[in-house]
Amino acid sequence: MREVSTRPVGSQAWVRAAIVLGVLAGCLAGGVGSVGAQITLEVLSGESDPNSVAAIKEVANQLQAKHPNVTVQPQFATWGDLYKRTVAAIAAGAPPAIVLQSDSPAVGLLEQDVLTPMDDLVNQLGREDFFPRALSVFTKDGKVYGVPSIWNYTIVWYRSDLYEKYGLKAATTWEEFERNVRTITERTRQEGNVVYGIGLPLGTSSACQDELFHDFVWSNGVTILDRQGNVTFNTPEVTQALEFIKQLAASAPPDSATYSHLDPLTAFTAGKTAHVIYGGRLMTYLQRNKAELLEKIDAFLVPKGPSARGRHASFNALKGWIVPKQSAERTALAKEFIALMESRQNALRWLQAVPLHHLPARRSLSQSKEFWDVPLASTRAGKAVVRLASEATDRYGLFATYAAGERNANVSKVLEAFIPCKSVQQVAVGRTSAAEAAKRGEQEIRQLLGK
Amino acid sequence: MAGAAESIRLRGQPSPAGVAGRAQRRAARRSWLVPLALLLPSGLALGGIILYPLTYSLYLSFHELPLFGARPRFVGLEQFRRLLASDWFWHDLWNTTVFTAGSVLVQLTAGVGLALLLNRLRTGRSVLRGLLLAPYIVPTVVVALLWRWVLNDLYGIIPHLLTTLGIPSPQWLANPSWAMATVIGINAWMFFPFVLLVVMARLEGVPPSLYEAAALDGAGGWQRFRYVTLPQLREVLVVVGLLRGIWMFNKFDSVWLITAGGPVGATETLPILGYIASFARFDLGAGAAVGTVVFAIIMALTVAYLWLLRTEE
Repeated sequence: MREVSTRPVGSQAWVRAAIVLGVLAGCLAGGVGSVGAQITLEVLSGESDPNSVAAIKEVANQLQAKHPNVTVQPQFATWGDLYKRTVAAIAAGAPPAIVLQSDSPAVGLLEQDVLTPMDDLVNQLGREDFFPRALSVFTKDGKVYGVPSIWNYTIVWYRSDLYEKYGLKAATTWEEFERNVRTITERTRQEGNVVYGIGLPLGTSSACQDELFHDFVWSNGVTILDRQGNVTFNTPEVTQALEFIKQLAASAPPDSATYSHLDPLTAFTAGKTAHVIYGGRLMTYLQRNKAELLEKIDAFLVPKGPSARGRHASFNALKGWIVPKQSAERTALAKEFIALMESRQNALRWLQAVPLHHLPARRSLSQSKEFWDVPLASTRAGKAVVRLASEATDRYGLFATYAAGERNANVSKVLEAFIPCKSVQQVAVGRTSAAEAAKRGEQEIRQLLGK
Repeated sequence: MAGAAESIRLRGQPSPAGVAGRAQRRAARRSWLVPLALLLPSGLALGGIILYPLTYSLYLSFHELPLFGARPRFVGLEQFRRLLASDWFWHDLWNTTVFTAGSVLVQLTAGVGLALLLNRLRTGRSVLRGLLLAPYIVPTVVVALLWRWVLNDLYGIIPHLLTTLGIPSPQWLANPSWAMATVIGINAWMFFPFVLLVVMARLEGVPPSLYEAAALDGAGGWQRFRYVTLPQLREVLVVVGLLRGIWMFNKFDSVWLITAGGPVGATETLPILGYIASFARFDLGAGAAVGTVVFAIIMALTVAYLWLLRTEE
């Protein structure tokens, strides 16, 4: 048996070990150096529908085929986490190469001066082709910092078969809407198989603000900041909107306080609710899970509120490609990826990944027959979108970051802090009065903005 | 060889005793170098992973930190003043205390109860023990999704069963009055196996002679538990209870994934408050201040734990 040496390690041994480590480190460094030409482009997005993922991967393959030293790495996060991830990565000095960001968080980043100007790419794609409102979201001091890609909207979907059964008509005012929602809940409950009037995203998520708060505050003719940036949360119009959401919540599934973006869609698809406020994605959901409902649903615009300024409304979200500041080489490649993504054929595939939910931000695509020529467009549901799309975007659509017509980055801060959602929950789930919730909300916003 | 050595010495080299002495001194000097070198990587890793973030977080809690680029601005105790003046802090501290106390109590009760039950089993003990460990090894995100579905009022199995039995199902996660109890229950379900494992190990070490003596003295089941089992478990329960208390006090993932602190803040705990401050309001200084307060409370619990441990010893 060999004896184990207990001698102290000699200096020569340490020197030898150091040399070996040095050589190893050199090899590794050499390895890294040789891989130095390899570039990884992270494409961060919240669009995780399988079709959207496939569309991004297809373009990634096209770019990789053109540049063998480039690896495109698609990454996905929930829309709620996307901004946090982007901010954290930028703050850590390791930004993702490309991010598909919604207008509200994008405006937040725009104000922080961390994005690359995209005018060259916008010009290359045709500046005049973009809808001016879409470009204005990403514009600061005359420069464009994002390439608008997807334009989403909200409309009120309803079960037309139940409307026919109970003799209801598409609502144009809040009062009619609430009556329809309540009638369906009560009548189906009497029949022993309750279908709740509406599915509401009352859980803590951006859906609570996007698909609920905004739609009803706007349809009552107001926004949470005025044109001068003053806080206008504690107003009779906002209080009315909160009170109305509470009335609707009385006809919503009892668990609505846990609902986020997709839960109302799931409940509607399962036939458990009769209304849902969402965009065209509902149709893809139905197509995959309950296609027969596609012929039993229709839609109308969010009805007008009771205030003198009441109007129809539609929450619009604009998703655009942004490139955080980074090395020139990565920036150039990132722009090349976006250019490929937005080339006509790829853009059509990308937009049609979730048909009639993603509307184009460019005229040439919006007006093309190819874009609208999808099988879903011939269904009753699809015809509703075709009928309402223009009104839901051009005429009544608003972006979240707009305060009474002006873009204001402070709105982004308020939304990221979920203050409107908290007010909605206090009224619809808790026992706080609408007036008290509006008052508290205003205080919290003032505190947040230092006003 | 001996001849060669002799010839070297003859040429004026130091005596063998001198050489040995120097070698010993050199060896003694080096003897601490090796352990030091071996400890260095883990020391650096610990410093990087624990010490640096901890110190930086403490540093941040005395500063206001803009989102990008600019240097932190020293604000003294202002972050703590604001935190202690806010209603949400006290609301969330209360929630955290209720959550911690409730979770630990249920975990201990379920863990001890099931350990006693398993300890009495003659067959199938290993299989049952394996099955009962399952909740502990399932990833938190899976547990959260699983329970959200199980309790969903439209499709969940529990509301369905209750309704079938004619019992009205509460809104487990949607009703502010029920949400905290539900979150406590889910967390207890996830973590009671830890208590079960430790208690079972201790039960196996209790001498049977103690039970035999108690039986001879006419002690019934409850008395045997009260006067034999419980004293034997006391030491373990104190340690496990404190450890679980510390872990529950800073629990973030499961609560966030199940309710995100809702509804209407009913399950919002201090770790969630810190997360919201840092990543929703992007006020890193305020988030760090929450972290520092949580750290101070946990430190106090740890000191209590160590003190109890010493007392037990």
